Amino acid sequence: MDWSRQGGAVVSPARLADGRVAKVVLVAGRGNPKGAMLILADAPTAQNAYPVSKMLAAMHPADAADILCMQERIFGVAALEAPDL
Amino acid sequence: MSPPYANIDRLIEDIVTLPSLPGAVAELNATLSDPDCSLSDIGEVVSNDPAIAMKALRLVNSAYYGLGNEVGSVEQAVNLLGPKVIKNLVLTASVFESLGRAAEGLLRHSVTTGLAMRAIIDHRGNAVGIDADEGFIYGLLHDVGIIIFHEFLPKEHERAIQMARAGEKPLHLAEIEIIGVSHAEAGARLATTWKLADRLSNAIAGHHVLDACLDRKYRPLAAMLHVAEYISARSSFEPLPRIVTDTDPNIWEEAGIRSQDVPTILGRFFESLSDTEELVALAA
Ligand SMILES: [Fe+2]
Repeated sequence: MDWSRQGGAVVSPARLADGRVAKVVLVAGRGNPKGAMLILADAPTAQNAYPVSKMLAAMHPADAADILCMQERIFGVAALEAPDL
Repeated sequence: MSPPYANIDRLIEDIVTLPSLPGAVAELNATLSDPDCSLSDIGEVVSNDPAIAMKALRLVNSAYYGLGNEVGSVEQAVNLLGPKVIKNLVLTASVFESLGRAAEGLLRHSVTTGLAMRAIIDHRGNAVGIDADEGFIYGLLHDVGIIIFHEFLPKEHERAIQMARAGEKPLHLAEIEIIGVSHAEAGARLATTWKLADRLSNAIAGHHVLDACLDRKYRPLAAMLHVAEYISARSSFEPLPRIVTDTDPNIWEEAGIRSQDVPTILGRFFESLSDTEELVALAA
């Protein structure tokens, strides 16, 4: 994944297991169900935004781990080192 | 130009004097395989190596074991925990003893890979025949080959690191190009020299390239170790500064980990991270 800051959010393009292109947006820690959202790129509207936790089956496990680790580094309580973005 | 050590046996013979495993572990292995051995025999073996006994006691009293009441003697620890846990405890303490030479970043990476491995094994149950404590040792030891290179081939290894940092290739491939073998192969050789379980040396050998497992049945274990290392690195605990640990897409399937499993595994892992500093301090 290729993370960058966008305002208060951290975003990365993502590719789903079936090849669809999407964007991951991190805005809060893992305690918040909408802290990590996946927006499908073919029609990027609010209707096409889903919590990452609901889209896991469509994602590669390495990407799922990358997303959750990044979310913890930025918004988490485990006091991980913040990334240089 | 071909690398100087295309053959790991030559490398080991010429350059590397592999450190010996503290006597307590070898003796403990022998004692435990004796069907007549008693708990006090085991306590005696551990007590005979004061450095290991002390580390084992610190470990048993750490938050990692979370026993609550202070355990004051090795005998008490043996009675409380039983032979199998004691063996893991002593092995872990010995590994920490050997890892004391590692740079702090690598040590933290090893400890957190151990914690990630423990979270994976906790989640997968006994699917690969090792328990969570043993899984922790696998993580602790997986990159021990880097310490060997650091000690015996520092210039060559620095070149491999630079190559990996420049993004030319992953570290294990840069090592093969420059040294002739990867840290995974060198680490597996150390585990064999220490007469540790076959499955442990296979898992270390295959933690970057599954095909390096000599015995196919250990591929799932090696794949789990690879995933554990990836989780540690992605959580900011890279093995060496600016060395990226990537993942082979097929390895997750071999590890039996689906994306739906990831939040549970990572939840356990993040929670266990509070033990990191205490465990890192044990190696000092
Ligand atoms: Fe490694």
